[in-house]
Amino acid sequence: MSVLEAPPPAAPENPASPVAPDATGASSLPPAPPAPPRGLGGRAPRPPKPPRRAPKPPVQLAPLTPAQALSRSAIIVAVLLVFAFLANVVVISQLQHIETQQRLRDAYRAQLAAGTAPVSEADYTGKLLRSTSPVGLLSIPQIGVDEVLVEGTDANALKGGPGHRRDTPLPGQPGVSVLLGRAAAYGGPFSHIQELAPGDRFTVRTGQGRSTFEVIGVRYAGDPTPPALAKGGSRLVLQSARGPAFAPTGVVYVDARLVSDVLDGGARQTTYTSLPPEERALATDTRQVWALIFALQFLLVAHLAAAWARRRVGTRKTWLVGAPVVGLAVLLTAEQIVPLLPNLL
Amino acid sequence: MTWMRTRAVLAASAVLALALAAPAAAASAADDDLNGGGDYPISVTVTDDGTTSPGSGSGDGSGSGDGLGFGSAGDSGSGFGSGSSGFGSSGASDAVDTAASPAGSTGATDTKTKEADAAFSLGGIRLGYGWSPNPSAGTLSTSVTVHNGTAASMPVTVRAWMTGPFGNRIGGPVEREVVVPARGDREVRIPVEGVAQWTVVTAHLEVTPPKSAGGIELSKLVREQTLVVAPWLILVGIVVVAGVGYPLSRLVRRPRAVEAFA
Repeated sequence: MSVLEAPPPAAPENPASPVAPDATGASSLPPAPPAPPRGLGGRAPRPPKPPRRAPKPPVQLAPLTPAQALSRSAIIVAVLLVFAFLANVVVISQLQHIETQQRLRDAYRAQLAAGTAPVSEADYTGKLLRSTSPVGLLSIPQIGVDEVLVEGTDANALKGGPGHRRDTPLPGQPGVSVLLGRAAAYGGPFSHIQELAPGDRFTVRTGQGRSTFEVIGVRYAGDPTPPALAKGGSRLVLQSARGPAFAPTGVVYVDARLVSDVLDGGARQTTYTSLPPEERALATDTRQVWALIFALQFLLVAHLAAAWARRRVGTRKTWLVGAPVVGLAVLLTAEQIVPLLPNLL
Repeated sequence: MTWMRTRAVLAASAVLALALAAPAAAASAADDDLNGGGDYPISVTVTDDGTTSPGSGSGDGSGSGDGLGFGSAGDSGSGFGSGSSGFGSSGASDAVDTAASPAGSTGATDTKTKEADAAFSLGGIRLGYGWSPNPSAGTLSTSVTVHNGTAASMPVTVRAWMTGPFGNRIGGPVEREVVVPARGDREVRIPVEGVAQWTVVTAHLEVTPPKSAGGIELSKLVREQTLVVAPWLILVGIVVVAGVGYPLSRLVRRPRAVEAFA
């Protein structure tokens, strides 16, 4: 805290010759001070203004001990990770979803044009479809859904769009097809499926043609079930998370019956018992924790390299090179955390 | 010389960063094959001739009670192609909706199968927020569509209430009794007061049908939906504090000490 002090009283110009009263008792005026030098314009330059506040002395922080410096760095990285994770799930994931859907739509459109769109669990060459392969187009105009379906329902597959569970037939084929979709992150394509009313109709386009479904109702786990499916019949179940966004409390089911012609069935190699647990509703995926470890290692090395470079080449150059690298490491790490969350999030 | 050294250090850092980023990016790149199949090592032979029996490959929904949720406890009549049980049977094996028995078909091709209708089901759960100048008021409009699949009209009671972010009840319950026409739907709208400044509001809708309808046992269903409401009083407060705070800070920080120099 700086304290302003009043300036001392001005000293007399000539203390040796004080003003003496004249004979009339009136004091004579002191001699005029010498005229200040004039500028080019003939005006005297203004004296500089006094500062409004006394300048604060520069703050000298005590140097941190190695333990304090390490703690500070760890806290900064942790906060960065939290913010990067939130930004990734809330904002970046939506953009990723849009981009992935565009690529999937292009690929699936080409397959439809070539007549090679999958109609079973294998592609036209007989190889098993890998996760994230496009298998259909889902259109639910009542809730604004127009998405490309992908094969597989684990957390990574559902980043691209609604997923078709591998152990169930494709929509329109005999049996009960199951589609899982996220409720909040990565576009949240199934965030409004509870708004579907009984009787609402929507379509699914696969390699065999377009199938039309009619909503039976919305169901929660433990609720009474729809009538058993007739032999040769087809039904579709949409599944997503319910509860507040990013905080699911359960699974919501939307049952829909097929109202168009039943299509030919396709072979399925995966059964319910052989379905990986990571592909079930609200499951987490720990199969790629190694990627998270690699990302964390990358982040640690980038951080240490930035600290080292700051001492060697200076702050500006380190920021120029280090900030994008550390940012990339943080985002990669945040991306690898997502599979550890429920797949319907 | 120092400049050369700096460049070498920066180049080494960039190479190291890219080398370490590669494994982490590999996981994402593994999902990028959009051509289906690719070089996936598993190869299968498609043997299907189009006559796959319904549900033959799923193994789900045949009374497991898991996954699909089909076949709740005791639903012995469930399973694909084994007839139809009434929606709302809740474990009653005798609750058969014979009136809506499906046509059934042995063939899987070119067959338009009429599936049994649900005796009682819900859907169309929508929420809306009605703003109020009273900060402790505000209306949550709830809407639910009730479906009656039986041949007789069905009186139902719809009860709505809402809870806050901590599960605390903040409004309702509000009850309304309606009659759903036979083989028809009815949309029921119930406004619930008391949203106030609770930002995360969960609406609960409980629909109670008669104990049985058309020989089918029915049970009440509860649905819930969450809505995020902007707490306008808090937002206005922030704006006011920010709007007043800035000039206030300028006023407080005015250089009064200048008078000492005058």
